[in-house]
This record gives sequence, structure tokens and C-alpha cells, in this order.
Amino acid sequence: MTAGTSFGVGFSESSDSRKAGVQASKEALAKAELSPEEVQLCFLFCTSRHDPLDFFEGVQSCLGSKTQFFGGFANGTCTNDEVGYDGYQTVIGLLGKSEIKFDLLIEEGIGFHEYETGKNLGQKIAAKKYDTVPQVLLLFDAVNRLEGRFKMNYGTPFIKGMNESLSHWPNVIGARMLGDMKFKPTRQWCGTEMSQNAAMALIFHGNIRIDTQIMHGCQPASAYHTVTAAKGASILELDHKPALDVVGSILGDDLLENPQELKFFVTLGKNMGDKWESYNPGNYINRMCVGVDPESKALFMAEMDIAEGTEVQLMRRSFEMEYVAKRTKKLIDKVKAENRRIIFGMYINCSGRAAAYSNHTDEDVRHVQEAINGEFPLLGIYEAGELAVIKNELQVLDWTGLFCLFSEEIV
Amino acid sequence: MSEESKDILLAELQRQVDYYRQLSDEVAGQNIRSDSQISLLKRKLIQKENGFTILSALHDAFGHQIYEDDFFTNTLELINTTLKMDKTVVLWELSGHSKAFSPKFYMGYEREEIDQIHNRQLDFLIDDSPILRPFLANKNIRTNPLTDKLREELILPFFIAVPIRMRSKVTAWMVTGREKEAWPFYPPLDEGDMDTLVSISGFLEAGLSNSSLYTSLEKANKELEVYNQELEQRVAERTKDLQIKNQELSKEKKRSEDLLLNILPKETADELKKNGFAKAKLQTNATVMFADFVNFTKFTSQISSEELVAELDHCFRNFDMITTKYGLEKIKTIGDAYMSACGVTGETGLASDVIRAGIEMRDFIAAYGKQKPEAIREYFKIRVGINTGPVVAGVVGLKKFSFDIWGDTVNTADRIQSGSVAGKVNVSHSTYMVCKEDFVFENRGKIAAKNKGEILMYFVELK
Repeated sequence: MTAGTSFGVGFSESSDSRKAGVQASKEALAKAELSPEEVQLCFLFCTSRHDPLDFFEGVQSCLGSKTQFFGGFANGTCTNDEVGYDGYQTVIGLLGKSEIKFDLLIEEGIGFHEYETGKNLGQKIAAKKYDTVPQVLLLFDAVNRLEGRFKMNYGTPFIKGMNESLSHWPNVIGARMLGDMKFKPTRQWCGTEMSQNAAMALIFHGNIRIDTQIMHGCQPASAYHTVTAAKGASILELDHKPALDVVGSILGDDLLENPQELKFFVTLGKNMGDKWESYNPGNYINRMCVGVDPESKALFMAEMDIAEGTEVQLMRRSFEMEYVAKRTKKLIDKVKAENRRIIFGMYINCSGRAAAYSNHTDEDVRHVQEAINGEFPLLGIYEAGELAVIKNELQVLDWTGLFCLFSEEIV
Repeated sequence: MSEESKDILLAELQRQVDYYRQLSDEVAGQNIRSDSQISLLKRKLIQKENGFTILSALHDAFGHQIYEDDFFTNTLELINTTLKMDKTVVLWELSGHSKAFSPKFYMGYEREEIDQIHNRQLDFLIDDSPILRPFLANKNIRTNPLTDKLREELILPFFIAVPIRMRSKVTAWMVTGREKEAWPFYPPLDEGDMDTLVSISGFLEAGLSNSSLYTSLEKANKELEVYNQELEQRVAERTKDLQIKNQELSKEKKRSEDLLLNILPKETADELKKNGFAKAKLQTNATVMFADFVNFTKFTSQISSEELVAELDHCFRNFDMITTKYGLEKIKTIGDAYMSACGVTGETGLASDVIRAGIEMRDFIAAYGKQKPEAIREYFKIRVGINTGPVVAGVVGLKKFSFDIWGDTVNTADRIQSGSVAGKVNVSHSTYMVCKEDFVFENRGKIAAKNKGEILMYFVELK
């Protein structure tokens, strides 16, 4: 048997940032049955409504001097019992009494320099030599407000940069971070420092593995259409016609009278697998339309990865949530069947999928919680894009819930 | 298959592909449009649900959040988190300035922003007329000088403002809103949101009244507490005085009672205290004793009056001790005679105790006499006479109360004393009859007694 890593999760919604940090940390310590000095790694997340310094001080005040920190802003958080967003949510995950090794790497300055940041961070990861396949949690700031106005930090160039530095992709999951849906500047914590405008990686190695289940929240609804003109993150044409006209012809021309309503509603799917195979969520990349230009009739997409020649489908959102519990359970059963002990689960969810934003009456997180049924701790965050490996390459996913299991082999 | 047939088949297949492709898009469009409509309906539903959630939470908090600060802080936090507002501020009417309001409670503002706005005074006026109804400012609504001013002064571009009234007068304004209106996550604030906030302001009004009531009660309680403390102190001081006076009174009372008991039997004294008078009562089983010095008249001529009284005082004090020892009532002294009795206060007295007291009194005098000079030793002898029978006992008259007994038994007792001899205790036949088993009696036969004829008498001694 392994000695067994301890992990506990705490949650708070106190509007007093320091108090929130203390409350959530104490709950996590109690659940992990760890003393402050035994905590090796602290995951910490809070919404942008919090004062990040006060929150960090509150958390630090409860833990030992050797504890390392990894986390940042999130638009919402969840645990086995709690879920909330757009308020004063915080979540703390504490790991201790573990033989698992980890490294923390950070590269600042992602704003306007996604590619370079990705490349540099990739080089830092590549410089580390690991005996086992590294298991990486990658977080990067989604918000660029260096010039005041909001600009998205894109994942496509960032990943391209990393790709150039890495000979092959480790097992990576991650998120593009935001603290609210108004895209206020975010904060990150890595090691013992607070940062911003940064990308960072937590690299586990040793007896640990991350398994993932992608849950897109939508499925293909239309025929394939080919992108025939694109520029950056904008799709200018589909099937040699203005992109907005094509979408309008499918959804109804009256929708074009108020094209801004297509924002965060139209989602295009890119199938990385066999075109004619039955729908396989593991092969799809969802790309959200985040804006429309009525003049050029272009669609602004959340990422820059839909190049000319790409075939896309209109995706339809799934109002029924039962699939979430089924797929979550399926992954849990798979990992357990491989003689592994689940240390904790992490749910990285797209903020837009939260019921209050997507006009659902049901939260997908509730179905994840139901499937776990208290069997192991759950730490969840709402962010602005999920990172997972599809077809051996890291991808940014939109409108997706990424359920991850951190497990150790029982030896 | 010929090339021509193949081409026809291929064309047909292409048509089929086009048909299904178009059909697929149409179905997708219909589905997505339906989803969109459902989505919009759900948005409305969620808006109402959020309203109910917050009203329900306020209802729960209403009963136990009695302080204004707590009540507002929690309400503002609920508004921001449930209705997805960025900032909420409550502006309070400035005292002495009925139209100007200044920020008092905040939620969602950063520290620097609070420093910036907390001293601001805002008039809720349009064209010099006070605004009394709620209003909203979103992207689609035409602005006016008031909304422009609020946007700037409160650093809140999109907002809803609702009045909070107390006793039909606008006491405060609650302004809540967002920094951004961004479809679809933060749609423009609308009438539905305003309805929710008007309902919340109703709760705030009730909460304010509640809080005001509690504040008044608390103030009254504090005043009452101070008054109580003062009162308790005064009562303590007064009680201390009274305790001293009570102790003095108790001492006085005890002294009076002791004095009274010295004069009257306890039962008679109690009756006199209770009723103001003590009725003389027939006592059927009394035993009366007279003790009288022999040759006392002669003795008085041989010593001074002061010496005589001093001697009498000494002897009668000792008699008092003896009669008290045997539970007898001292009735009175008449010159050199000492009169006592038992069974005269309602309590049963024993004639045998009277005899024992009589013998002890005689022995005392005999012993005392031996200490005296030879010349006067003969005067220290007493005659004792005891008789048993009914008497009337009590207090008569209005002044200088003294307990006394009357009746033939008394006169006979006196005659029995007269019929005794120096150094002897003489008892009547009635006394003999009740005590004959307890003492040694010497039957003296019938002896003449003044006004009584001959009476049967007995000398008595201890066995």
C-alpha cells in the first residue's frame, strides 16, 4: 500500500477576504486531517470581488512556512457540497503527507506576448528531467488590461510557443483564468508570491497521474461548413460566403437584426477525429463566438485556431445534464479499476456554462458532485477556457467542463 | 455499369447529399432557435427566481438582524451576489437638509472609491422637484442630469435607484448597479430588476423600523438599567439604615418584652399585646404559696430601713430564682410576704413543684440566717403556707398592669401560712391530696384559721 497522500478542500463565501481565506483554509486542514506544517501544497482560488492580498494573508496565516501555493482568480468555485460564482466564493485545496514531488514554474508578461511566454515556459519545463511522465496543471491569465481596454490573452499562440519548446507534450490540463465576467485584471499565486499577467505550471511527478473526461456541454447540430477566409480569431467567410450570412441562413435571418445576440451563443465545433464517426466529445474542440462585426459580417471567435480550410459545425447546447454524471462516473470507475487511489478530483468549468449565465435551470457541477458522492475531495473552478490534450496536442476548449482525477497507484 | 449510368448515379447521390445537408442545417437552425427562445424564457424565470431568493433570504434575516449596520451590510451583500450587481450604496438623508443624501452603507466598492465618494452630497432633484419614485439608468434609457450626476459621483454607469421610506418620507436611496452591461452575462438592467429592488426596499423599510424600535428599546433599557442601579444603591443604603434602626428597635422591643414578662406571665403578656387587654380567667387547678418572715415587725425596729430593704431584696431575688427554677409564677410581694403560684396561666402546674420551691426557699433562708450575727439570726426564718384550688387570674384596670389572682383559694393559702410555724412548710388538705405520694406529710389535725374556722393542715418535708 502507498503511504497515502492527504487532501482536503475548504470553501468560504465571506465578503471579508482575510476571513474567507482563514475559513476555507481551516476547513481544508480539518478535512485533510493535516497540521499546518504538514501541508506541502496549497491550491487557492477566489473571485475578483476579493482583495487578493488580504485573501492570501488569511490563507498563509493558517499554514506552515514551507507550504507552496498555486492558484489564482476564478469566477466561481465548487467543492463536494458547495457551488457558487460571481460572488465572494473561495476554495482552498491542501495536499500533504505525500511522497509525490512537484515543481512550480512561472513566466510573467503574457499580455501581448502569448507566444513568447508559452515558449519560455515550455523551455523551463523541458529543462526539467523527469523519470516519469510529468503531470501538469497549467494556468494562465486570460485578461490583458495593460492598456486599459480588455484584450483576451489567446491560448493558440501560447500553446504554439510551448509546442516549439517541448519535444512532446506531457500530460497537461489547465485553464485560462479570469475572476469575473467583466474581465477585471486577475492575480496568480505561485510558490510564495503573488503575481499577475503570468502563465504558470504545477508539475507533478512520481506516483501520480491525471485522468480527464471532457464534457462539452454541446454537440454537433449542423452539416460541415468550411472556413474559406479567416484572420486571427475572426472567421470572415464560410463556404465562400460572409460568415454571418451563412450562420443567419441557418438560424433564421431575423436573428441577424440583432447580431450581438449571437455573442456567447453561437458555438462552432471542430472535429479532430473521423468526420463521419459518431459524435465523440474527446475529438471535438468547441469554439465560442465572442463577437460579431455587422459590417464585415465576420464572427469573432474566442481563439485563433480556426484557420482557412477548417471544417466546422454549428453546435447545439445540451440542456439535459444527465450525461455529466454518467461520464464523471465512467472516469472514476476506469481509474479505480486500474488499481489506483483517487487523491482528489478537479473540475475546471467554463464560466459561461454556469446556469445563471447560460440560462440553464440546472448546474452541471451538481451532477459531478452527485457522481462523486463524497468518495474523494472535489475542488472546482469556473474559468475562461479549459486546457486539455486532444489528439496528442494541447487545446483550448470553450463551453466545456473538464473533469480531472489525480490518483496514485496502490503499490 | 456504364460511365453514363455512373454519372447519373453520382449526380443523384450529390443531390441527396445536398438535400440532407440542407435538411441538417434547417433542423439545426430550428433547434438552436428553439433553444434560444427557451433560453430567453429561462432568463426571465431566473431573474424572478433570484428576486424570490433574495426576498426569502431577507425574510429569514428579518427576525434576527436587529441592528441597522448588520441588516444593511447583509442585504447589500445579498443584492450584489444574487442579482449580479457590482456595487450597491445606500445614501442617507442629511440631517437639517431634507433634499440632500450622502453615502452611508457600501458593498462592492474598493477602498479608494469609498474614500472618494463617502463625503459626497447628492440632491435627488430634477428641475428642483424632488424625485420620489424608483428609476433606472441603462444603455437604452435616455439620460437626464440626475442620472448623469449619479453615474459620475457614485462611479456606477448602469444602475437602479429606489427610495427607502420611513413614515411616508424618503429617508434614504439605495443605488445598485453594474460597471458593465455585456450581453449575455450582464444584460441591461430592466423593469423586472427594478420590481425586485422595489420589493427589497420594502423589506429595508420594515427592517429600518424594526432596527429603530430595537434601538429605542435598547436605549430605554440602558436608561432603565442605570436608573435601576441608582435605585438599588439607594435601596441598599436605606436598607442599611433600616437594618441599624431595626436592630435598635429589636433591642428595644426585647427589653420591653422582657420587662413585660417580668411583670406578667407570658400568656397574659401575649394577650395584652394582641388585644390591648387581658381578660381575668378562672383557673381550676391552681396551687398558691405564701412565704412570710417571722417577727418581721420586730426586726424592722432593729435595723435601718435601707438595710431592711436590702435584706428583703436579697432574699426575694433568691426566691425569684427558686420559683423560676420550678416554673412558678411570682404574683407579688406584700411587705415581707412573698406570694407565688402555679396553674394560674392556663398551663398545668404541679403542686409538688410548689412544695419543692417552698422547702428550698425555707432552706435558703435558714442557711442565710446562719451567716448573720447571732443577735439577728432569729429573724431569718420564714413560714410557708400552700393551698390548692380554683382561682381567678388576670389583669384588671387600665393602668400599671399587674397580674394577680383572686379567690378563696388565695385567702386560704394565706391562712395556711399564718397557721404554719417558723421554718416549716404548711399545706392544706387539698394540696396534701394531690401530693401525698410524693412527700412526707405530718398531719397536724384541724387548726383554727381566721374567718375560716378550723382547717386541716399538714407539715411537709422531702422524702
